[in-house]
Amino acid sequence: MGSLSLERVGRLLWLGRYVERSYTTLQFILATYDAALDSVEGNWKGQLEELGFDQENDDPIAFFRECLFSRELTASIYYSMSAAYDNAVVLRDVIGSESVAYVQMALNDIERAEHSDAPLLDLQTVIDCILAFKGSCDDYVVNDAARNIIKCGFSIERMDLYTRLSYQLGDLRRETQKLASRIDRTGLPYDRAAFKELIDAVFSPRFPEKTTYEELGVMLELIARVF
Amino acid sequence: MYSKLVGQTDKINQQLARYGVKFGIYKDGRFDERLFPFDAVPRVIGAEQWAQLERGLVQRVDALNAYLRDLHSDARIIRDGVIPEHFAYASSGYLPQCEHIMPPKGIYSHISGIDLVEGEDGEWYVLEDNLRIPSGASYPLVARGLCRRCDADTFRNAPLVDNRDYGARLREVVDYVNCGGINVVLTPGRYNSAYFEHAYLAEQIGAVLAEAGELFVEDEVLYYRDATRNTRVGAVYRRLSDEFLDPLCFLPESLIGVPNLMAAYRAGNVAILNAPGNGAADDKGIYYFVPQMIRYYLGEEPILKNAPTYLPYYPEDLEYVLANAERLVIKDVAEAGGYGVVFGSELAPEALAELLDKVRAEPRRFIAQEVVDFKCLDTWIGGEMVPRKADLRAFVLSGRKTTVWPSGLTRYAREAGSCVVNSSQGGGFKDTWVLSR
Repeated sequence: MGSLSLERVGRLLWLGRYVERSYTTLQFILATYDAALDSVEGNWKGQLEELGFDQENDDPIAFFRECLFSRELTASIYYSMSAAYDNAVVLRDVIGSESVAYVQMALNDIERAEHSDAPLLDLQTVIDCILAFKGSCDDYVVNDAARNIIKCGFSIERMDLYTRLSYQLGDLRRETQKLASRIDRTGLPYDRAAFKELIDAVFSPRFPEKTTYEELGVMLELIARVF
Repeated sequence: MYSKLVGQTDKINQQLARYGVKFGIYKDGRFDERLFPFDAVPRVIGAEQWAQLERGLVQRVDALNAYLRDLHSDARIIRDGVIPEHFAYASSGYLPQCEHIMPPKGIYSHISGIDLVEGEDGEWYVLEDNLRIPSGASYPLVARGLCRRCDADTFRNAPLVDNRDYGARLREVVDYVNCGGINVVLTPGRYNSAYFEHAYLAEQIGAVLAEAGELFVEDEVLYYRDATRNTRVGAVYRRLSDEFLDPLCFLPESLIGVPNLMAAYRAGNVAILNAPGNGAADDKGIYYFVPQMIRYYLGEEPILKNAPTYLPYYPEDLEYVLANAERLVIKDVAEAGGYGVVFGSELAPEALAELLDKVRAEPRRFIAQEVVDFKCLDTWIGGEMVPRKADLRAFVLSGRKTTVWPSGLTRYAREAGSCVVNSSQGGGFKDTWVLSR
């Protein structure tokens, strides 16, 4: 797998996870914001509260700004992207300056959007940078193991968030397949039993329509155990 | 020649931000990363002038390497009375732990950063030799690539020497001294002021960027702690200071060093670039003796001039410094990065008297220099072309042979009239163009 210390393996995995966390959470915030436009009565915060955005804030605009730009809330887009940057910047020799640049630009654009009068519009470039980063991994991360570890990070995080939020559960099968095709190419040890159990749950005929809340909880535990 | 380029200054700076071309700074107990402002107006050095500079730089670095070899073995230069014994060994950069260690291929300073200024008289003066961990090559390297994208005419038609082979040149040096195994760039971590450069150069030379925790020594061999197997390391391009390199040899409290690294180095199992102990030759006081070193080791007259320097260590120099302090620049030899540099003309009489008391009490600690009136370069600031003082850090690489990278880091002062060009004090940088004819 080339020369990758355990610490760098961890950083690669968390780079993938934080980039994906920024991306999926941002999509989720946009969807929740859009729904809130039609109804600011009742639970307009939706499941964002489950992600840790449980600050007492009755002003929707202020609430969503916190979700996006808070330096303190660990689930905010800024916080996640900042954590992704912390990992990317120490991996320049593994992932290449071009790939690091996309993470850097995403963070720069979030900081710029914070001062914009139309932040949600400006955050589109953040999504563009994240997607470009994902593509750049194929071109610039020449170390096979490193590339697959980052991609496994994407998948694990996406599966975790989708399950946690019961969001786009139908896509979990595709994500599980992606993970299955890459996990052995990382060269890393992983919990095969947990992964097998997870595959069984996702590909069960009952999933996702008849899956209970408790069963989703079990799936979350399995996802956490894979690496 | 570069008028189109100048108009693109803002865009080039945006691209530099995209690539994270930054340096770190600690202020008020807080770490902050800052962009290093780039000015697109280059320093241009003609072919003939460069050839002269190149010869002078190679000569100087060859003499400095000879001095380090000599100092750490027979110390002939001291026995022959060229450099006072007390002066050589009292240098804070002199490390007794490095005595009698011969580095692989006998090279001590593999990457030398020589700071020069061009005087108003057109003469180049060496201000400082940096033989420990000189930084700054990465900035013009990145900038050149971006500048080429915005001004095809200039780069197609002007006779410029390409500087984008720094990574290949550095790689050649590292490979040349490698003792068997992978190449590693050892960094203290991302909160170091030059972290961008550590990571960027590791990428450029195809080395593994490592922190101390990822390396260990066993049976006097250095290994990289790989997730699946341990890999032998043959060369370490270290980017941390000597005293932190090995807690078992230098500062025991160092958490960023590799225990027993010096044992592996002493056994000849790993090369360390630059060699530990080089501080003994780039001390601001030892600088005074470099012309003598050139004559002593190479039997040649120095091609490059030192700025006129006085050592208060010598009674006649002390007398001169005391009498002329208000027009001299006085430097504390233990300081770096523009700190500890005092212009006598800028001090109030009481402060100057206080400083001179210190000079009298600790003459080895200070040097004094005539203020070199160095040239201003055109600089594009705030939408207009203004003159700014600028220096040049030239990079000299010593491997199979000693060569000078045909470029360098030109740093300029942000404020009109200021001579302080250090990035940590607000300075910016320019590319350095060397003409081929």
